[in-house]
Amino acid sequence: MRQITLLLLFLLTGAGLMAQQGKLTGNVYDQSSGKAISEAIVVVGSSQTVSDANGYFEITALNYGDISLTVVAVGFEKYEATVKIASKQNYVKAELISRVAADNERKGVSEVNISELEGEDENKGQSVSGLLHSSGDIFTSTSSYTLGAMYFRMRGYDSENFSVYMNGVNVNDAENGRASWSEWGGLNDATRNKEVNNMISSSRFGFGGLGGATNIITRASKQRKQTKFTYSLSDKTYTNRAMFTYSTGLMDNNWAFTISGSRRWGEGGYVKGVFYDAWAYFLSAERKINNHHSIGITVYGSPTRRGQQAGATQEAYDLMGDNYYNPNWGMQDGEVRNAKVKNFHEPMLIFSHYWEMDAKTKLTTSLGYSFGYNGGTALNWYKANDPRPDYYRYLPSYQLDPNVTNQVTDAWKNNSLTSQVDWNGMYQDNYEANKMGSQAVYIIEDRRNDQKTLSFSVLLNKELASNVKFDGGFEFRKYIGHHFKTIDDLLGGNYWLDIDQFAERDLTAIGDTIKKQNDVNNPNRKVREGDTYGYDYEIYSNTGQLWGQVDVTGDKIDYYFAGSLNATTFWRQGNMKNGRYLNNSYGESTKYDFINGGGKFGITYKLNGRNFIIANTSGLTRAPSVYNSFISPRTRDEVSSKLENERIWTGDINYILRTPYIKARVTLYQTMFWNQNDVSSFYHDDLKTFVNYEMTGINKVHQGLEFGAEFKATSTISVNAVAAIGNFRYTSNPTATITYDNGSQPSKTQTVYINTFRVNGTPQTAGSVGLNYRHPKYWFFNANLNYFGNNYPDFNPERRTTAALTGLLPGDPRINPIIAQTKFDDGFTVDASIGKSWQINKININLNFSITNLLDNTELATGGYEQLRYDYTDFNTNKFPAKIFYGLGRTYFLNMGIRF
Amino acid sequence: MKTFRTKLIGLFMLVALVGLTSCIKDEFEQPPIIVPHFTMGANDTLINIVDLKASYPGSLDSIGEDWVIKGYVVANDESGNFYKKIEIQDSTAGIEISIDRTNLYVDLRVGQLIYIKLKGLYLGDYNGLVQIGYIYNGAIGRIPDIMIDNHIFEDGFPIAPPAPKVVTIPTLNSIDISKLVKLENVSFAEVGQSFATTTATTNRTIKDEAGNSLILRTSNFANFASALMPSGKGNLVGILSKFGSDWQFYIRDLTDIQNWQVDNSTYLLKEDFATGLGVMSAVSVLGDQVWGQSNFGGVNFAKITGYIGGVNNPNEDWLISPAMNFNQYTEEKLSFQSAMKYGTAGDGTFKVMYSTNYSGTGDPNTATWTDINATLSAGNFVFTQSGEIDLSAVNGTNVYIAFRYFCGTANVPTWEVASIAVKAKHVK
Repeated sequence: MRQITLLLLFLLTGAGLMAQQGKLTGNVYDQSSGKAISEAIVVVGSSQTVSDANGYFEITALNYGDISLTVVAVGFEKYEATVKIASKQNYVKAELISRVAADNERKGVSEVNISELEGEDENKGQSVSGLLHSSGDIFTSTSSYTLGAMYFRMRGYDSENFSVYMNGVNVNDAENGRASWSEWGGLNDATRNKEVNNMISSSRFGFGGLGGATNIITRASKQRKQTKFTYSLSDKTYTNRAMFTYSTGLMDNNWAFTISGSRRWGEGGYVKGVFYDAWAYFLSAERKINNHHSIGITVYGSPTRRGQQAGATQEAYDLMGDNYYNPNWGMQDGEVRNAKVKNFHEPMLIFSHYWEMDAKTKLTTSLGYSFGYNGGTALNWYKANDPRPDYYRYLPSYQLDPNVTNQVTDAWKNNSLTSQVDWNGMYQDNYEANKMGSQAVYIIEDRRNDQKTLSFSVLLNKELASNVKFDGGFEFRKYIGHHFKTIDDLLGGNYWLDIDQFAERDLTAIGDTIKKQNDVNNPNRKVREGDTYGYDYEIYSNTGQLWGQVDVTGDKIDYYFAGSLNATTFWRQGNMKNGRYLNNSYGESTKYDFINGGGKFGITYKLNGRNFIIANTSGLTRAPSVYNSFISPRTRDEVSSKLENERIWTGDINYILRTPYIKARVTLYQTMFWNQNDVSSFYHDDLKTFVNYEMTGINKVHQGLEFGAEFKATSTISVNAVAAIGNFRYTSNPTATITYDNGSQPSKTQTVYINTFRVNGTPQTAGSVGLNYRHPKYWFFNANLNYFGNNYPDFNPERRTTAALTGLLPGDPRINPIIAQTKFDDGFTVDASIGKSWQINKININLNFSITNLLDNTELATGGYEQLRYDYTDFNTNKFPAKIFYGLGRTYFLNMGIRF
Repeated sequence: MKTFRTKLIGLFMLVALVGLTSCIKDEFEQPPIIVPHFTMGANDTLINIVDLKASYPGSLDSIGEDWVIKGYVVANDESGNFYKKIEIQDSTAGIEISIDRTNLYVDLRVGQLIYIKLKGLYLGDYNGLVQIGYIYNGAIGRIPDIMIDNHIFEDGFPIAPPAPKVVTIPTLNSIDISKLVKLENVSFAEVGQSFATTTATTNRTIKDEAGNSLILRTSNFANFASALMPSGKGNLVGILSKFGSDWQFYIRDLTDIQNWQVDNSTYLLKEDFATGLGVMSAVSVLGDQVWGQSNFGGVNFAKITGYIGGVNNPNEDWLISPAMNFNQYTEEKLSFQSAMKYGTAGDGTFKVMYSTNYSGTGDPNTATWTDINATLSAGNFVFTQSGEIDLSAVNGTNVYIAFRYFCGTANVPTWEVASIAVKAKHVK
């Protein structure tokens, strides 16, 4: 009886309800230097605090049991652990790894990769910089760094789905939505400080895209005080890189400065002809006016010149015995000269005002201005033979007589004038043209897209309660993109005549001098180096966004919801009156307006300190990109027949496990796109003229599974495994409209049968298994075995129409090769890296050597495209086979750094 | 601040060092222009084109000897009229070379001296036209692109091409086939039509002053194909060719039409009497017989005679033109044909006159008529050209031309008039 009474008393006193509680204290350290980290944000369960000057923190009233601990500090990787509260006093030591060290371990791989990927028509593949995703989640970081080396993209998303901000200013391109981060290439240290939110999640600085949002923090007072030199050697694209960064941090006089500069150069990269010649500069200054206000300025730019690689057909690669054969270059005067050179410099100025109204309210105002030039050169020719060595008629496969085929094969293998560009030949031809008083036959032109962008944003972060945060803001951007081309090099010629040679050939009756003009107001201009010719127009785009988010943290459940409202206007201003489009090429076009909105919601259910379930969903509409709206902006302002918003819905469900030994995540996701447009232009072999090809009503689904796990086997060894299984497909048969660029015929419409086709641009199945060894004496070793599969080249929509099969009866064996989708072969690679860092007094030295694709797999295709030319006469898909890009073979990266 | 400055100077020096040692080539200078030069090999024999053609056995023949020919390019594909071929000639003859490459003109300009190593190439003919090429399906075809640089060699830069040889249509000779020749004082028969239709290579006709004709052949892909063939006459430069037994002529472009006097006249009056008297009016002053239309031997004409049913009737009959405004034109020229029988040349039974004050209807004798001197038929119904009669001195807004028939009871000839034309030029 008494025992029962005691039990009842025990129960009544609520001691059972009031579970035992304890206090957690701890210290936060820099793992490599052992120094204490102050102002680190420590989150334990649902409580939060900040570490003091000694790195010390304490949190009270924690229930017994396992609880999650997260520590976040500027310049350091997020630290996550599970802590057991088992007594009144509990202690934990949080050792944070600096971002620098973490990135050193992961090499400079992805940033080197990205360099050659920007905005090319060649569809080589876009990758998202590994540096944009270092959030500690093993799946994300492995996808970005390791798998990203072979152009893997998470969930198959284009880079337009990732929002990138530079200190509060959105820097995604106004015309195609992509974040062109080569604008700050070479400034790794200065741009290392980031807030990264992956996929649909709570984001405190912007609504974000499907793939998430990244804000690169350039605020000088937030940069770690350091002086740093880095020198790197590589054989990928550039061979040498020198970087320095000097940050003062916030000084006693209330100023803070960061200066950074870099030089990347080299001609001996992996692919011949891909030279690199780049500088970069960065300056950030901040003045703390008082405890509430600070103002800052950031200026950076990355003037870059680099040679480009062209994809070639497998036939060309086999002839040269080299999957990295680059037809873009040829010898001139004993030097390698590349016909396609990218040359850009787009500096950015950002003015920022930081206002801490009170401990719970922050208002950040940013004004950004970006300008500069962005060009790419290419060969052009008039009434002459195609100077590109791998033009299909110059290949053995085009020849009919086997004797001739042999001779052509021999020439390819032995005569570099056959397989590479013949510069001297072009100069000789122009010399003879000069003597006849004629225009140059061959030239190099520079196709430019010079933009000016003015951005303005206001961001409010407010703590409504200890566990409720409100974030919201307004962004406005005004963009003018000037598109035109100039003569870059007359190759010894005297002048070039500004007319359209296809119009001259096809349309002009004797006496008609108008149709062939590119600029009717200035007909038959003789242009010389530096002159604009061919086309000249501007794209104006104004966008505004209003967004807001509420984020609630609870004991068991966290959730957030956010909404955004967008307005977009764009139009074209033509500066040349095109002879084939007298009424709709010159002057201002109609202005196209779009209103869009979106919402997202996510919930985290914390089963306990070790197990979490997270679900996120978002629905939004999006304005069509300018790039896919104007069918042929170089000649006229005609727009797509269906200029409507895209619709998107996405959702994912995640299970996360965190124990002291295992951190793992499993995710299932699905994203659906409706009503997208796609525009391209190419030379149509059947119609024998340039056409504009527009597809509307494109629907897609991207669904799949993501798995990532990190297992701490011992105190020094950890094993990780990552798998991505994706199913990215088209789910509609879009309508295609073919328009003759010279206006000689009315347009034609057809259905493109691509329903269930796989989306191109990334291996849809990928995985990696890795081993990490970290010795307490600060040296480390990594090895990864990676798998890439289910990668498809971009397809030719024309081949999947009834027009392409005209003349073939059902059952004809030639039909299947024409319409079926081809897949690249799957493959494996192995990466390894080793490194050591030393601490001598206050100086930190680190040395890091990594090899990508150790086993030299040169047969792994990473991207490519079926040619848009198609053989309507003989239905031979081998006449215009796909152009393929292969992942580089074995390459190395040696990095040496000093920091103090 | 001192450490800051020190660091800054250190940085600057580092940057300068890096900058100086890290140059990447930026500008490419024009490479030296190489004057092409051909050197005969030890075994090569230079032969004349006429001898090469003479060696042709009549059917596809592969050339095994180390022969080399040289010649100047006289025609290429620049205008599009010659497709994948060039014509070259030396001092002895010309020959066509069939080459499987487009835009040959860029390297092989007119006036370019080239040497051709013939060993390994083929001689063939296309319906009699001998040419150099390569074997294709057992017949003469084009030299494959990959072989061109092993056989065709430029020597020097293009110079003024050889002057075209003057030839005449009746005396065309095989020695001149595939050579640059010139025809003088020729005209086109299909004035006002295009050089070629839009769909196929087209044959037109060149005519010389004696009326001999020669086929002018133009490709529908030539850049002048849709130009209209001009009236008038002048000189034509081009390549002589032969297809079977037909001579053919190809011009290279419109600049081959030289010293052309375009005939930009208009006809104020053109009457061929296809239907009745056409625009002419007949006025009978005396006698029942009137001017009427007739034809004989495919020729239409207007005819008058006072003789009918064995009776000689006195007659005065006028055949009058419509009014013509000579003041709007200059260089008016009258021409016609006349035929006569049963009369005597110069007997005055037939006169050609003009008036500037005829009313247009009624008795012409009320107006003033001036005689026009013309060559008339001498008899025997032989149609005689009047020649071009210059009426440029005549002025007036209503000018009438008339043919007057006047006979008594003796000397009653029959007169016929055909192809009346008054040509003039617009006053600018």
